[in-house]
Amino acid sequence: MNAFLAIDLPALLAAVLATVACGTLGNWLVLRKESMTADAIAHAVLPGLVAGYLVSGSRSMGAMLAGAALAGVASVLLSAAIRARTRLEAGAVLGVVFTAFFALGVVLLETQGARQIDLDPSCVLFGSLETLFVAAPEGGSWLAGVPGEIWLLAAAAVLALAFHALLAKELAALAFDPLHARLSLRSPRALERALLAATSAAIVASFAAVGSILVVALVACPALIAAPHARSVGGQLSLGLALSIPLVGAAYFAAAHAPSLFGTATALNAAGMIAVLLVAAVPASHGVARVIRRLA
Amino acid sequence: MSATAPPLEVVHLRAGYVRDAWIVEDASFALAAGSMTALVGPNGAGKSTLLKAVLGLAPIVRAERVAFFGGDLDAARARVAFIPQRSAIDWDFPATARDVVAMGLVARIGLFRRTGRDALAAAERALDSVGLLGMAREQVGELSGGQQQRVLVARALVAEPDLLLLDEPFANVDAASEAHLASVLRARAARGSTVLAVHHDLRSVRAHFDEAILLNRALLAHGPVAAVLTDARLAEAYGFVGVTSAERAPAARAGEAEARA
Repeated sequence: MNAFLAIDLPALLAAVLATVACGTLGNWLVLRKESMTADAIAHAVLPGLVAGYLVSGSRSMGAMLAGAALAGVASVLLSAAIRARTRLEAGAVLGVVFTAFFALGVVLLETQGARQIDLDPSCVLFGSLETLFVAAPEGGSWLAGVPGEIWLLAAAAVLALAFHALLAKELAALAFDPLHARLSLRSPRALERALLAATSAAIVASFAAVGSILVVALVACPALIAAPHARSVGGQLSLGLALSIPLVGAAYFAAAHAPSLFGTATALNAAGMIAVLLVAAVPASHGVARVIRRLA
Repeated sequence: MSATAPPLEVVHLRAGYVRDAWIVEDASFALAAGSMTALVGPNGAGKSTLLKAVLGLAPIVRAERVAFFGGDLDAARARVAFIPQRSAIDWDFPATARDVVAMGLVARIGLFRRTGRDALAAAERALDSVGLLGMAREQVGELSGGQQQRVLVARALVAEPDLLLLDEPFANVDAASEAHLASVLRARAARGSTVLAVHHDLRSVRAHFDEAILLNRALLAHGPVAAVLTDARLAEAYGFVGVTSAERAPAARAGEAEARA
């Protein structure tokens, strides 16, 4: 098996699937002016990851994902409870709850000595795109060697697209005019919680592969890149993914292979490179929109 | 639910944003079917809060009774339409006028179903009724303030509501849009729908509405416009006599500014 199939393709696949999962749900967060929620969730899952690690005693994916999901749900429920009992603005509540959760995660990491037993803090920030590879068994097919993370990301991407397809009409009405939607929809609150739950699932699924920095960029950037050109919610999603996926691919190759062209042995961190390129594309896209408007 | 029950009946309603600091201290009224009622009162009188409270959209609401067509809101949800203040909406949303009007049909279309051809056709008919059929495929963000307000009214009308609650439908709307909106609401009332609208401009109450509710934290009067907007009552509510105050001036100025633009 050549190096592309064994090393580059799995990492690319993981990055693209994470883009689809996070970008699809992030489109709604951007429309609702809640993209900070992604940042918040990415931080809130940390104590769950650490707890999952401590309980299972290993870096088993199942236990850590279960812990992260639990922490995500708990933080969302706590935020909802605080909002229902106070007049605090949603962003302020998120800020309070998610920093508390992140702090708890750090305390757990420090006091429980998880650091000594190989839970790498840089993994939390940058993920592990570089460690994903397909180890096909002797004579077996390529598919048989695909790591579990990629299947998980594929499931998250399908879930996100299905969520969008099934609830787009309600989510759009709620994002455009919350007061009107609260009267006409039977349970707007359930819809908001479902969106948060689905977003948490996408973030948790992507977290291990791409890390917390890229997760936040993947949630917000596709929609923000498309926003100045979009004329419909669906258009914003399709355009956002259509522009982001090639960027993700380009950034991966730039990180993995460009340094060797300059005679440097070490590759750059792929997740970091992807995040930089996506974030830079946002103002670039707005600039292009301004030029188009001036020419029109 | 009886056939003769009023479209909206409110008994001793209090509402506010903080416990024990009521914005609306006491309101009781019932709307007659097919009536057009203006909800008037000075700034800070609690007009918008009352409207939201009736629909359960204000943070704290206490009431002996709030009944829609004799039953509770859940039973009447499909028959009631609410149009919030235009300024409460982010108009940069990527959607055409027709998309926004079709949002009025979300509940009727039902969960997990797409907005189909029928719904879009209904949305175009509703846009036609407010004189905006030609704008159906325009982005809502590119419409004028008056046109945006008409899109919101079309979104309410598309579901053929029996009770329309509007929060300042004529605020910052050019004269042509105001006249158009008033005639659309009037036509709707003539077909039996009931209209209750928060209204700022005391001079045009008589032209657009049959009845008025005068509110200043508590409900001061409710009845035919001429009987409610008397000098004595206005003096009590606004602290001045007549309608030459600054209360209507900002609204009028804003309207002129919009018409110029």
